Amino acid sequence: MKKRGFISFVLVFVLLAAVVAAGCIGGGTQTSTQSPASSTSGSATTQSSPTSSQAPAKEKMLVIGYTRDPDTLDVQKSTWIDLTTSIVFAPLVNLASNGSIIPGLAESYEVSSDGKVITFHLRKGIKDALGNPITAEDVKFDFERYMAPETKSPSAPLYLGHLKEVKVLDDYTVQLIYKEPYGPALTFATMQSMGIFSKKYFESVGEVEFGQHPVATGPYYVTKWVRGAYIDYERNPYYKREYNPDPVLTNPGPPYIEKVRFRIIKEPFTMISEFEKGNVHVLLDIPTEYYKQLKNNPHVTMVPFLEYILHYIGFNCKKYPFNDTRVRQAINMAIDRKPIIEYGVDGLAVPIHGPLVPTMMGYSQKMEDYAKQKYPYDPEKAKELLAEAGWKDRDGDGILEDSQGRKFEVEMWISTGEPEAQKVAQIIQDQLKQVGIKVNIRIVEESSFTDLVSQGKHQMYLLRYGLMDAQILFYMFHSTKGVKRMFFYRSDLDEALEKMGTTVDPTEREKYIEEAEKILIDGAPMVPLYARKAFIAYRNDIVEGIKVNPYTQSIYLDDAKLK
Amino acid sequence: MKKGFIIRKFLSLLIPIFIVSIFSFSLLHLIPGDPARYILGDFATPQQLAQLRHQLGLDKPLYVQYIDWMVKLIHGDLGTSLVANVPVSELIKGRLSFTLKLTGTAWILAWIFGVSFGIISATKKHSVVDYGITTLAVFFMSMPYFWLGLMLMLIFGVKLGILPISGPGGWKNLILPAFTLGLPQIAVIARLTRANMLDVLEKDYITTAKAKGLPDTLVIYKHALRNAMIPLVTYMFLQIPWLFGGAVVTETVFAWPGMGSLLITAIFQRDYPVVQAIVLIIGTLTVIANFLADITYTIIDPRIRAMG
Repeated sequence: MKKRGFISFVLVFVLLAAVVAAGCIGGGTQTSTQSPASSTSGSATTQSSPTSSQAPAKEKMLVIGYTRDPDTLDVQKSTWIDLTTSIVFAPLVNLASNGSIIPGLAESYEVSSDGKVITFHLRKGIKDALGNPITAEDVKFDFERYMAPETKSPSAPLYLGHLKEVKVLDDYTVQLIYKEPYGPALTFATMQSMGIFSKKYFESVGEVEFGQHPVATGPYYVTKWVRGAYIDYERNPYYKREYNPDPVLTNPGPPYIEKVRFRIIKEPFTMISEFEKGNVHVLLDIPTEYYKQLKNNPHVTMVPFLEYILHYIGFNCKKYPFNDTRVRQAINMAIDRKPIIEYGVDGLAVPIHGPLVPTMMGYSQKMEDYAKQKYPYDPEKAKELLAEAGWKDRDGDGILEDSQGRKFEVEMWISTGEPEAQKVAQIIQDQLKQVGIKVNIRIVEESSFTDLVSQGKHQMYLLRYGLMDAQILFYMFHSTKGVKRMFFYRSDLDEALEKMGTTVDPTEREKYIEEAEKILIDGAPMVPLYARKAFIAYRNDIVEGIKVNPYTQSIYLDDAKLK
Repeated sequence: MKKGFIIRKFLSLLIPIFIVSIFSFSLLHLIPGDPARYILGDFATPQQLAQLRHQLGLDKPLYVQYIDWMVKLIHGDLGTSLVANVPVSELIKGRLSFTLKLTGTAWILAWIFGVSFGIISATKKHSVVDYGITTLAVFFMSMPYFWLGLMLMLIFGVKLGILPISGPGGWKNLILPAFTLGLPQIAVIARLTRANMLDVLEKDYITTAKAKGLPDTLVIYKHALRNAMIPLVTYMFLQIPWLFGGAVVTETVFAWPGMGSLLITAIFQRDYPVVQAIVLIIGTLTVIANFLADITYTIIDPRIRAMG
């Protein structure tokens, strides 16, 4: 017996050794994928000798944690536009962190009086990260590729509008000529999808390779992408501050940090663990359940910004009982946003009363105040308005009935894609019960939600909409060119939206935005609820100087330094 | 071994693969959701959606789409991702090796540890060690990969800090995900080994061997283990589908860039060609695993050969 026990122990030992060996074999090939630690310790201007930092020289690299795995890094083709490409592609003009449009690769621009032609004057001596010179011909090439149907760009129709032609006047002057003026043209010209890259580089590597390792004019360029794992960037040595003269930035030249890595981690627990261990230095999206934990960590700095996404209750305005404006207005007064924000989204939101969010370009404080004053939280007044519309509690069961005795019982749809929707919906359910409306909550699968809604099968629903520009109203509410959601169609609204969509001058455009907003507030096809506060978090013991631009909802790495 | 047997077996493989391909194709197309909607976003008009569907060939009848896909497949073309606009083979290329590395290591771990714990347990029947191993086995068998992965990460990555938390890298990065995937299999194999060993140890030829005066070690490892392993060999291959299934969750937890995490993303995006390709690859590997199980079984046990 004793002997047998000894042997089994020896056996286990041998096996353990075998496992370690197996592990080595299993991972052996992988070590080679790690790029050799290049010397980054020396000064930024000259290459230091490779021998000085041979041993365990830990590479100085900023690691950003991100939950999304990009489908392509070709901005013109991507379905999702974010920091993974905004640090690569520099646009002709920029959206500064104070909400104004400032120069970029173009030192100036003019809009023709009819709004159909925008002329950009390029800076001289622009080079992409590999040193290829950039001239008006490159701009023409980029825009023409973006608008070409063969590119199958998902974002081009939205961002380019009715762009007809790109004309080169000389090496440094280029014109965008529109079939009809496009209201948000300048806002959208600041997007990285309009970022400029070298025709020569694109043609030399081809489309597929360009989508994997884009090199362009932004502060960084992509050196390596292991799909599903990480994207590595190196700084663009030719980058200059004047390519984005946002006043919050101070660094005159290329970014201080030489290497950046985006790590793709989908599981929040894993992400937070890596962040707390210091392996990930910046978090771009923080799961709400970890908000408090991070907030109490002294090594973590959290920078809030307001998402340009409006969460709202939408009504089907062509269907009983919401085809009566008074009913929709009454519900606007029956909803109290305070508990919704406090309990529904853990207080991490700001109440919104009008159709736009402050971080959307074209937002009007005047109309927000108008909406707030028109529909104060007042359940008694809501009940009066409902009574006026014929809804009274005739049998004393607490639920309103109309003159034919039909009960006010409606279905509210929520999407599986909105994690907080269930909690919010229950609060709304309770608040509407107070005024005699019975709401039944129905959960609808995310991917079929908008299809079902656009068929008009719903009564009311909970969802969100968002875009960086007031142009969102056009897409949400135009009777023929918009999506089908609330079926609130009026000719004066269409007219205001069309004018908004074709007016480039910001002050004149504001007039039409306000006009559209007023019709939407008075007609009440929805109850705007809130916009969420999002956070970017970084390890203040590892990195400093990270800045957030609330209008682009993105961060600047230009001034960042590793400690 | 007869040549005909292997050829017949091999041909019979194609049928399940074919069925798998039809299933994966139709299931995905029948659930609601639309890649065109995903690509164009919420503001797309019905006309734009219709146009993109036409461009992508999604407006053709399902059977035509299936035949198109099959024809391409036979020519070695897995198609192009609808969302990423990149050949599917390009997307999968890097991912497959990560998944094989993970499942392969888990598989090796499962056998080395599973068999050794099984032997210990069997030879020390009803001892504390035996009960300990059996209890732990039940525990690990019933743990979901997700929870197991997070716990291992919490203990060895976060608290002790001796192993990397997540992501690809050197062999150290492989340890936690491989054990997460391997532990439930270790448990299963340990229990199977124990049961089979106990069975064999009671056989007459073991008693004879012992009576001959052979040392215990020789009896256990030469006579008993070899015979006890026969039923286990099938499981060696049959467990492979389980490993692939578990890899989907494990890869997500450990940010391991294998096919599983790609599969999940692709399903949400309704990226049909990517999902179909992955399901087909996993299906084919499963079928091949079953085939190998059959073959090895006949090699080890001549009685089956005679009947087969």
